[in-house]
Amino acid sequence: METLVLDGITTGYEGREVLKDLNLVVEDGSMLAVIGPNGCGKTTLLRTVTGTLKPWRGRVMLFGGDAARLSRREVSRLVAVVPQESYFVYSFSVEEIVLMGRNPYLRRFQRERPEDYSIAYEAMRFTDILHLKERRIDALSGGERQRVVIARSIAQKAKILLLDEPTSHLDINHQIEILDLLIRLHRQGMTILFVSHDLNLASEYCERIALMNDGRIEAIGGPEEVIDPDLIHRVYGAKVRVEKNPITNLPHVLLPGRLEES
Amino acid sequence: MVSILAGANLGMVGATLQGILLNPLADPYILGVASGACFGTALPLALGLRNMEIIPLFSFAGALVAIFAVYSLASFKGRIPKDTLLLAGVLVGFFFSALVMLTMVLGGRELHNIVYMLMGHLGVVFHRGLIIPFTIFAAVSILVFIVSYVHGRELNILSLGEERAAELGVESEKLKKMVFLVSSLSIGVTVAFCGQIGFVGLVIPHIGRLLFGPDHRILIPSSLLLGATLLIVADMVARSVAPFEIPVGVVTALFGVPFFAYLLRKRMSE
Repeated sequence: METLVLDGITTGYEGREVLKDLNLVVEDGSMLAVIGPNGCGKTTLLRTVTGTLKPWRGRVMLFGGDAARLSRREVSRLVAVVPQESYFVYSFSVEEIVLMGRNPYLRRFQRERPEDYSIAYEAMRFTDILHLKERRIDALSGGERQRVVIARSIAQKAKILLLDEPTSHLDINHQIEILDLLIRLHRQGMTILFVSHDLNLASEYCERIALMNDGRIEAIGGPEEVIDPDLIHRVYGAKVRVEKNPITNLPHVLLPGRLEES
Repeated sequence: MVSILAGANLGMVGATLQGILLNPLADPYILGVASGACFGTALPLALGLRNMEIIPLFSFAGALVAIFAVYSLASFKGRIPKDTLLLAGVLVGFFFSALVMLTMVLGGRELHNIVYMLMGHLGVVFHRGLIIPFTIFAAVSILVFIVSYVHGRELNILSLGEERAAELGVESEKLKKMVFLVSSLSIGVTVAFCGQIGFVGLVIPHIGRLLFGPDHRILIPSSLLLGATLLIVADMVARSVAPFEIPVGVVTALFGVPFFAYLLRKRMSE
């Protein structure tokens, strides 16, 4: 089934066109990486899916229905977002932040119900932050904070999880932690759309990769099809070599500099 | 009686505005709302009007005009960048302060009343003739409290930023308009009765947050109670320390600032 369809989307900011007649189909339960050069429209693509940016032309279809007809609350029950970095003006506790994920299910004057607490606790257990629940969010490290935000998006019980370079500010240990989390979510049937700068990370972790270029999808397919030196040269303008990673047997991008010297 | 209502309103509006603007420096004064309300109050005073059933309407109108002037200056394509909002607030504040000074010059014999209003005072004593104005003040306070309190969870989420809030299902533009409307109602009525009492709206929510945490569902009622308590104490001090009555706005600032500084230092050392 098609969970998410972007049908001829053209949109942008203040007269500047960013997405240009973009088409994308995301299958139910798939894990798709979106890669592409800076400014090609990756984040704009995510904004269009959540409806925080309205398409000028074209339609966003969520589970077969036109997303433009859904309210903010209805969209937030289907789509959850993990941004690159989160800012917290006021120092809420971890538990309070995770419980915010239940907002789409609560009426205005309603308090969180016991089931909301149990869903939030389950999400915190899943991301291994239950022991941090009393801590203030601004006292946590970047990796812990990102796990809190992922727990919040799990508590949202959405069908689609959008991530905007969720690991780009983290060291390698925390990167692996977050990616393992995503793999576990994917195995539970979550549809994941993962924007990344890191070609190798996309290649190792996602079964499908969409390569964006100047507001369009340039290529989409498995790592073997998309992580291709000619394609990368055409889109990024960089000459790279692609070898097989001996551990995973998946394509791995090598930077040319040192390689050609030796 | 007046100090309870005024303190409650100032504390609670400070808390909601700081929440909605994602900015702990926001308060009715910085936003220019209080200046708008002052002009709304000064105008009928200058014309010699003393009727406390009518003056609050002018103050509310002034506050409302100010807040929507700020809003339309700062909003762009239906969104309000928060730094622009504060700048617009300062701008509108200056504009209305200038208008207040103009009314002072033109007001002539009523100058004394306007200056007194600007300094902030709690001199309005409850008596039979003021039942209707007091009922309006109390009713507005309760209404504003209910509306702010009911939106507590959404205010919490909005503090993550507008886009995050949208992703969590909050209609932030609607929420903002609602909060602006009830805030100007609250500030308008408070200024009509008590004039400008600074500091309470800015600092009370900070004290509330230091004591009870940032959850608006606790912060709004606690700011209400703390604001009322602070003004009762400030009023007693204003009346008792000197042979003449000190404007209460002076007292709140002189006592509140060191107290706030102490809380701030204490939190930093933890």
